[in-house]
Amino acid sequence: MANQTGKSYAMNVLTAMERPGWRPLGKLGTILKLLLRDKFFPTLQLPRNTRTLECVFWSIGKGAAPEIQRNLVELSFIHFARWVIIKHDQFPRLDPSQPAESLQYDWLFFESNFNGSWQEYIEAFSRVIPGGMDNIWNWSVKYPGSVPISPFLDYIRAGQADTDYYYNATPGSSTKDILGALDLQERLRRFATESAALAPADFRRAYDHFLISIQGDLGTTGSYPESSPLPDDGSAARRAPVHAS
Amino acid sequence: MANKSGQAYGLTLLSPILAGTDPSGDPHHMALRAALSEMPNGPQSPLAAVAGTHLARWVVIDDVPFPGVPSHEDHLASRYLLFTACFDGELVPYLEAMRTGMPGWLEQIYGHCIGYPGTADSGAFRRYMVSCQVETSFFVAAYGAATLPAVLRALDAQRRMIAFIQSHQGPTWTGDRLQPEFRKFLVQLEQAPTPAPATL
Repeated sequence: MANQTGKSYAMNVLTAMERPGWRPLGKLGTILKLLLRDKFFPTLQLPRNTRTLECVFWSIGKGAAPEIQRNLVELSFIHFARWVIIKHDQFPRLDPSQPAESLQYDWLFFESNFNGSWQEYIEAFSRVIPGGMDNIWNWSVKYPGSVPISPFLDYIRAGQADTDYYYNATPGSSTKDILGALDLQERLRRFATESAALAPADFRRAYDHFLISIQGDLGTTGSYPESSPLPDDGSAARRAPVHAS
Repeated sequence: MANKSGQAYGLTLLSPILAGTDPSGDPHHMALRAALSEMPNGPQSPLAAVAGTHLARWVVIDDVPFPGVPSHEDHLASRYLLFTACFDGELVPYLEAMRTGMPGWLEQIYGHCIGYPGTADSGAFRRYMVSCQVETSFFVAAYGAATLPAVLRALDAQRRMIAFIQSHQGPTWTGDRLQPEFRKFLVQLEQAPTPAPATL
């Protein structure tokens, strides 16, 4: 198991989703319902199935919910995150000798690369973008909602798969370090150009202002903080040998 | 296309693992796990030789989880090897960089997977990988506009800037002393090589 490399933790979560039944308008009908719900009827119920999630992603892609994407990026500890819908018949079958899958559910794979501890991360998701998370996982079977936190934690934990190998090209750097470094470089370029022709005394003043402006970009990279292990769900105790008394 | 965020590509591959045992008698999924556990990490990782790889992982999926009662109990008929990568640019050049950058390790890993053709034939390798690809539905990148070399250079500049500030502070650093030092620093920064992946 290699869930962590450097400052980054690799999370993988699989959750089941109901397959959609046939509807006359298919995705178009679901998109119309989504629009109606967002604009006029917030209590309008949408079917909890794969088609609805596809439509949610489609609407985010079209800019219908830019706040979800913005909130995700602004969670300063996420490097990259992805959701992948794997339909019941989309698991690759590469040879006739490979047994065919016969799954009842479609599956949602969520992957994240984040800094910090497992629980802090999930709690931050629950706190910062509860509605956004519900929009994405609400269509999964038995999803309890992102608030209150403890059933949400249990749900994510139950679907998690451990990583066997995890590579990170910037192991000593958090997302915030990287964003700070990119910002610093841009400001440094600008300052170099603007200060090139200044007289020494003016340069000194401009340099001091420059240092003040880049304070937030000067993270110290390199050390690996301890991260909390996956919270104990009792499985270790269940695996322990039972001795007859 | 949801596989991309900015210039970053989110690749997701699911490769079915062979049932049964390998010639040494170990189940294929266990031999595969053993190979992954022996693969070096950090700057010596074979993925460090595959240009533009920000983050990547392999996960052996034994089965799908049970959602709890009441629900159906799904089980996979095969185990799958999940590979995901966040990298710069487009898929085909990246797959080619994998093929040429880490052929030995690919053999050790994907030799336990159904239908793997090896790395000798570039087209066959690419077709195999693409046949294992699952489209990413929604991909978010915090710094999707920045390539890995740009990120590494920026991190290097950040370290050098911190060192420069620390060694040039105090009232003795008047403008006429500081300014030429700063110009020298900018030249050094410009000429500094791009740090190797997995070193910062």
